[in-house]
Amino acid sequence: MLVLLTDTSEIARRTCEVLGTSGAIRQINLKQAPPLLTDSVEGWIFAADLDQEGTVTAGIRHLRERALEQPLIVVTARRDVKTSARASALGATRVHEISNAAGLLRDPIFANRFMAMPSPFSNDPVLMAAIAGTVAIVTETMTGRATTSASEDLNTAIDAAIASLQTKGVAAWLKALEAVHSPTYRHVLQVLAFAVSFGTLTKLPPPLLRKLAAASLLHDIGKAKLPVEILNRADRTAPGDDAILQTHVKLGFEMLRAYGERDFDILDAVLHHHEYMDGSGYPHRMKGAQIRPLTRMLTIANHYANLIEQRPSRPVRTKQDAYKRLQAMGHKLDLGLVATFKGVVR
Amino acid sequence: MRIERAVKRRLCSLPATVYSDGLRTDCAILDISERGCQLEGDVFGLGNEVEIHFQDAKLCVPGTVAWKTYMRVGIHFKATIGLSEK
Repeated sequence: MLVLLTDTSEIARRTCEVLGTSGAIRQINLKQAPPLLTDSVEGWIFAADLDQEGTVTAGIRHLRERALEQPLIVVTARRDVKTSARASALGATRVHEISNAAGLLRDPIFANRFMAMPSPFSNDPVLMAAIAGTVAIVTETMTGRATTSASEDLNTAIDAAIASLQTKGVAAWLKALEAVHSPTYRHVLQVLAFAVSFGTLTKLPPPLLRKLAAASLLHDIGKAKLPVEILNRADRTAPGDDAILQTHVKLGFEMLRAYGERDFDILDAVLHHHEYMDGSGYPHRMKGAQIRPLTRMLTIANHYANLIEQRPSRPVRTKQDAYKRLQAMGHKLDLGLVATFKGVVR
Repeated sequence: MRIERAVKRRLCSLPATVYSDGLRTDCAILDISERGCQLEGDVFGLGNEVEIHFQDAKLCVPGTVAWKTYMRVGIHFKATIGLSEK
């Protein structure tokens, strides 16, 4: 178990979002009295505003329980002399800035934890490194760090994911994804897997395949601006939920443009991945050839990922059943591409 | 094992023009049967419904896209066409 010490600051909130994918973590409020820790503790994370009076004192009071061999990660807003001194006073093993979510997730305390997940593929370092890299990118994008297709981190993660998916296959990737807890993150990584396999099967040239992979990693970036209650609601039937959810495509497009994304294919795929060939999609009700082929591919991968997703409100679907439902959408999707997608499902 | 279809495909290399959603694409026919054909060219953006103009035969056939890759597409004709014995 990892112990996460937090207060009510922005650093604490963002750290919780970032670590939401990293398995069981016991969160303790610094203002409360130190509780009795019965489970064995693997490490500590301190995510609180070090500028606030009394935070260091409260931290030291809680950290009395920490054994010497247990690492302490301190998450800070910035790295200056004062913050570093306060982190040292707490006994920090390592310090991470919250703006670098990827760096935080790559810390050995989480990397080891991720590798130790009970998965039959956990002994495959290439696959797990590829997944950890993409999880880090999704975490960054979903927690508001400016990311574009030109980002070095994103390209490294995409290269690793493509290499891993082309050598190990989709099934191994999906199995390993069981280690990822957040449904939103898992969905993005499933779409990435289906999109890359789909692109490989359709013999996309490598630059286009990389664009498709980048678009699939970024396609739901707009959901970072939607209320978490709506995203996490199992049965989204409340009035107005659909209208709010549909805004994620425009929000994502605007976020990427604001970050400086220049690739038209990627911007188009993010904005239009819910458009249908018959004009019944959103946000612009585009039809047929108005929808670019890469966007159509992302739409299919996204729909299929939604269809196989486990939801409490419906029984688990087999991949064949999910594919039949995809076919049943008929002229809403690109029929030729749906037929080719069958190779991904096999 | 590949199952041989009842309808024989004939390998060829003929020019064709495909119209889909108002867009025109020039491509090559790789093989053809009475019920469909395989085209190669800039076909990735084609929509679901197409109309193929076989330039040499002066024939125009409507069809639907059956499968698609980046450079190739399989078309099902909406009606069977006659192929000469030559």
